Amino acid sequence: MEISHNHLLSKPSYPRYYAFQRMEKVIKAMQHRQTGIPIKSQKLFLTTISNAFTGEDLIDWLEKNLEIEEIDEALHLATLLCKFGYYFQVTENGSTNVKEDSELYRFQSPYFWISTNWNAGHIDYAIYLLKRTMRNQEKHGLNDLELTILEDLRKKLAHQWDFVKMQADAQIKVLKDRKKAEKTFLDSQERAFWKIMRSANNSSSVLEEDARVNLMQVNPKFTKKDEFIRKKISFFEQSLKNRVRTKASQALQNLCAYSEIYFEYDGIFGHCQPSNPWITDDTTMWEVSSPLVEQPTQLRVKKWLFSFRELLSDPTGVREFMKFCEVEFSVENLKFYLACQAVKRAPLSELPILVHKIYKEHLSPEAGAEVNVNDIIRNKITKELDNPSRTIFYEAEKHIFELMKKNSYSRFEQSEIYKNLLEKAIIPAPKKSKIFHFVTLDYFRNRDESTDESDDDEQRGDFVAGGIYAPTAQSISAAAAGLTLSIAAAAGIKRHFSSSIDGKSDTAGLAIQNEN
Amino acid sequence: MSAIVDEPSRISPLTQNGDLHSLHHAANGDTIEELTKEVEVLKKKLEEERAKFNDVALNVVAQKLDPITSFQLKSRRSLKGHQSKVLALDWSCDKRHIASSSQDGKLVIWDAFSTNKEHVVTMPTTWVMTCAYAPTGSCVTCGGLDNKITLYKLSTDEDISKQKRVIASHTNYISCNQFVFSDQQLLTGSGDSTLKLWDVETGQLMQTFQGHQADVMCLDISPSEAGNIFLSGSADHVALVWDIRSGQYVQIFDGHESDVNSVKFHPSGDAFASGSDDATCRLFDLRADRQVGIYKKDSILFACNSVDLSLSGRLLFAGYNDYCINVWDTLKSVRVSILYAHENRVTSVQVSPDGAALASASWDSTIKVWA
Repeated sequence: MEISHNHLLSKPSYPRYYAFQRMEKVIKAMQHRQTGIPIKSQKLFLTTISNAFTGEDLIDWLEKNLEIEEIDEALHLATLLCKFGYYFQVTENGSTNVKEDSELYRFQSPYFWISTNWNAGHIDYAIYLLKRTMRNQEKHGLNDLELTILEDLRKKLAHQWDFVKMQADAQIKVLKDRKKAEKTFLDSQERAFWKIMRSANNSSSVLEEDARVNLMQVNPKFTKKDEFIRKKISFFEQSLKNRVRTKASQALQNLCAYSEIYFEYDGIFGHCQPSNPWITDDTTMWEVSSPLVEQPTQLRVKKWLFSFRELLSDPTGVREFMKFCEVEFSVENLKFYLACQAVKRAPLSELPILVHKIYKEHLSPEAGAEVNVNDIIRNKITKELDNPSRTIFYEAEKHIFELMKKNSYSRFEQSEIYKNLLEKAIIPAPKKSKIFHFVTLDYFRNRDESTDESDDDEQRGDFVAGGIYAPTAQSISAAAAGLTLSIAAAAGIKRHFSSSIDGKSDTAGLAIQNEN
Repeated sequence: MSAIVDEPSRISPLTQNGDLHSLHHAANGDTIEELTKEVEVLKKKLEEERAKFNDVALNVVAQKLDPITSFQLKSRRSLKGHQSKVLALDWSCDKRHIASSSQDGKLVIWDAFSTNKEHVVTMPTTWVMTCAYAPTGSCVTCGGLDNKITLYKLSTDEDISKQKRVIASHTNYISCNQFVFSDQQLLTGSGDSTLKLWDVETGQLMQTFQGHQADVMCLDISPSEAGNIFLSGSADHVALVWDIRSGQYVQIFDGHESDVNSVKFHPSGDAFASGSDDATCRLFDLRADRQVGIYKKDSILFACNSVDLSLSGRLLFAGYNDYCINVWDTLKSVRVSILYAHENRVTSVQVSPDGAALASASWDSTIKVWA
């Protein structure tokens, strides 16, 4: 494989630029006289290896200097750097798997770093091979594979072969003046370099690049650069003038609160009811969480109080809320809202019919289930009726959403219907419950999360989770107490938080409008 | 002659006094250099404005949270069958199927739970860089070096490639695509530096989003339906927030020192995480309008290709070119785990729709499911 994008490497736009830069920074630090890895002549059986260091010292250095806590990480990184050829095993074995042992390694000279030799191609390789044929056969002789490659190259590069030969001769001449130890040293570096370069056509080579590399627009050309910049200028001006910003403290508080509230829904932390199908092969969880279910789980019903959006995003929640609205005789708002969702999801071809139908039912003067929107919104829709887009009801939908949130939804939260739902809600039990549960700290009515968590943990077997609350078998009670306390804390912020969830869309919408 | 040479560098007296208002007027119809200078001035002003709202750091706020003490994910399924590098994956809404695409032009639909391959489609191109499941799970789209997005209807038929249709095209490779709320609209991002919104049924172009200065690498659509916004990340080192209706960008987030390879909304829709070639991941808050978190370590040297967040937003999963997935505590900004996931670069990580599992795709030609 001809590697031919060297010219890009010097530019920061080259995708791998940062990886090479970062690796080389580490390598340079490793070679620091005082703080680097101790490099000395090392004894290997009867021979002395100059300028080498051990795998043990390498791993030790990485752990100390890059704040690596686990040895696995140090081993992994050391192996990768070795694969990129920044150092290599001195013995002929040439493995790139670095271990914490007395195996000897030697640094590659920057002259032979991949990043500086990206261009090295057939000619360079031919020179290298030819050079070896001119030296001591016993020490530098080519193996069968290399001989075949050399013959191949000789044919391919016939027109340039004189140049190849000349180069090889010249390099041999230079070598002759060097000391023996130095020669061995250089030979090993050169061999190590080619070993990596020639593996480039192997699919697991570190040199392989993303196809995008060759397509990247290094200097993208803009036909209308000034227009582009003007757009940016007007963006900045708008952003300075109109964007409503939240204080970091407020924003971050919200992110923390969100994580706390949804913690008991986060499957990665082991919170799967009744168990994680991927671990137990029991798919009950998917059955109870399908979009429309007869009996929702308790956790699911609780979620409907987090925010109005959360309720509306669950088909089962919508069904129950619809029942409530029917009792309240306010069903037209919800129906209108759902119809707006249908518009957003409709194919363009069905849009006009759908929009007219909704208009007739909910907005026109003779509408059977009229919704309460102001004239400005209504007139805007009327104007767009003949040529509707998917966003025709955007403002109306937002208005009705807020209306429902303030009225029906807040009554729904307090209603008997909701209380009944919560009481009837199921807590799916794991199929095989092995643990006898003895702790029930029940600060909240109808909740028993600790059961499912500890059972789940047991079922998972090797899954050491629970994360934040770290429930080991011995500390279930502590875990349960911790969980309950945190739920209490979460419930405290919940009120404030859920209002901000729904409130957010307004600010976003406002900002967007302003920018228009 | 000398007058012509001098022309671009001539500084108008107005730009020298630095007055923003008059500068703007002077810039109208003036040279690119002057416009660029004005951008710099405004950018600085915006930075100052943003800094005013920076009253506390994330790790300070997160102090009150309990640390994630013990945490472990294990590989539960290994999907083998691709003959070469897997470049993209996407979960189905049914929480058990996965679509994946690879360098050799294959699109595979997996029942990840049983690890069976349900469909294999051969595309007439290599490097299929992106694939997406439709929200109803009834069709899948994919594309890459062919500069096109092809839609395949999933049916029980043996050969789903009979039912294919091209619905989108760009003038350079397609790096990302995602359905917008329904099966009817598709958003695509491309190496031609634009994003485009398409009507799926007709293949009609609805909107073009111009604003990036280099290849668009990734996109993500807001989880909040009313939001009407989406994210894009690009090789110009910047992530943009777009208004899907107006076609304009409404927020710019910079900070990354190299290509932004991945952007993902926080489940709350208020923030987003990003991963970059500069070996860092970052967290940006939309309402604070600034970067609030950075996830990096001296020992992480390689590019981050893909990020995703757990259902509660507490964990950030990031797949890197060093074959690992690093799991970060999003709020405390510390790494909680390394998954030695693959034997080659990790190209894509995605949490399942119900948050129960994590899927990862790699150049080692496998896909793994973690739980």
